[in-house]
Amino acid sequence: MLLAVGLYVGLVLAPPDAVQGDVQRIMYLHLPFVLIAYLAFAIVFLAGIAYLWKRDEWADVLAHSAAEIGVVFTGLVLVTGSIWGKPTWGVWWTWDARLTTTLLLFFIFVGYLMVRALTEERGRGARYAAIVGIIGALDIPIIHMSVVWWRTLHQPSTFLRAQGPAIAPALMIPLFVNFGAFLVLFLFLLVRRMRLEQARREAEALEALT
Amino acid sequence: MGPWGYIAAAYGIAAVVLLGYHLVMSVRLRAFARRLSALRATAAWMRRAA
Repeated sequence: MLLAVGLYVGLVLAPPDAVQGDVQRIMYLHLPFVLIAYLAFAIVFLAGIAYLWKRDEWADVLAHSAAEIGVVFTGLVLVTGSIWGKPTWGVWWTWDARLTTTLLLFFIFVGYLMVRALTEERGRGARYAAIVGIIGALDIPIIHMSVVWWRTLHQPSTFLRAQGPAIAPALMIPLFVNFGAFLVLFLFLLVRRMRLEQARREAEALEALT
Repeated sequence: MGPWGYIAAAYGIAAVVLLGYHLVMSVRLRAFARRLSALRATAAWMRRAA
């Protein structure tokens, strides 16, 4: 329901951008996906620390689930950004600092999932993955600051900047609606993915008994 | 391709990926629920037998 409202607000109600025209509507997906991916990897970072500190199984389940969903959303960030980049910049991809560090984030967390999948003993895999997750999440501030530290084709931050958001309210409201909708979707997917992970671990434990 | 072509591509790909991911997860959840109930029954039977 919220997603349908977000779709309507982004595609119908919001006016076209003065410079970019209608293509800017892709930002109603791209920007919420970025923020959800950051949130997912921040959860991986915190849950990874919690797991290494307390060896809490629940924290490991949370980190694993958030990482997988974060990879899906980061993949979508790269795809929607590329589709927006072609009509706006004239290229599908460029080795710009923001794009490259985001691609690096994607590969780090694909690696995180591979570490889990390829390590035979689950406890060891969880420890290695927690370390990869903590180091990988440190790429997020680098991504955020990349447009300040290096000369980039990607525009500077629109929301998270000292002078306040640089966006007209008519374009900001659809962004917030879509962010809210995707946040709810993220939480829904996270709960389901955690349930699946817990079921998988319970099945493994029962199989070892029987 | 006009601007709406790019918009359709971005929204279409996002919809397919997110719906696909949700669908795969639902199928796996249902499969694990079936496997778990069978395993729990076997474990209970083994406890009774022991």
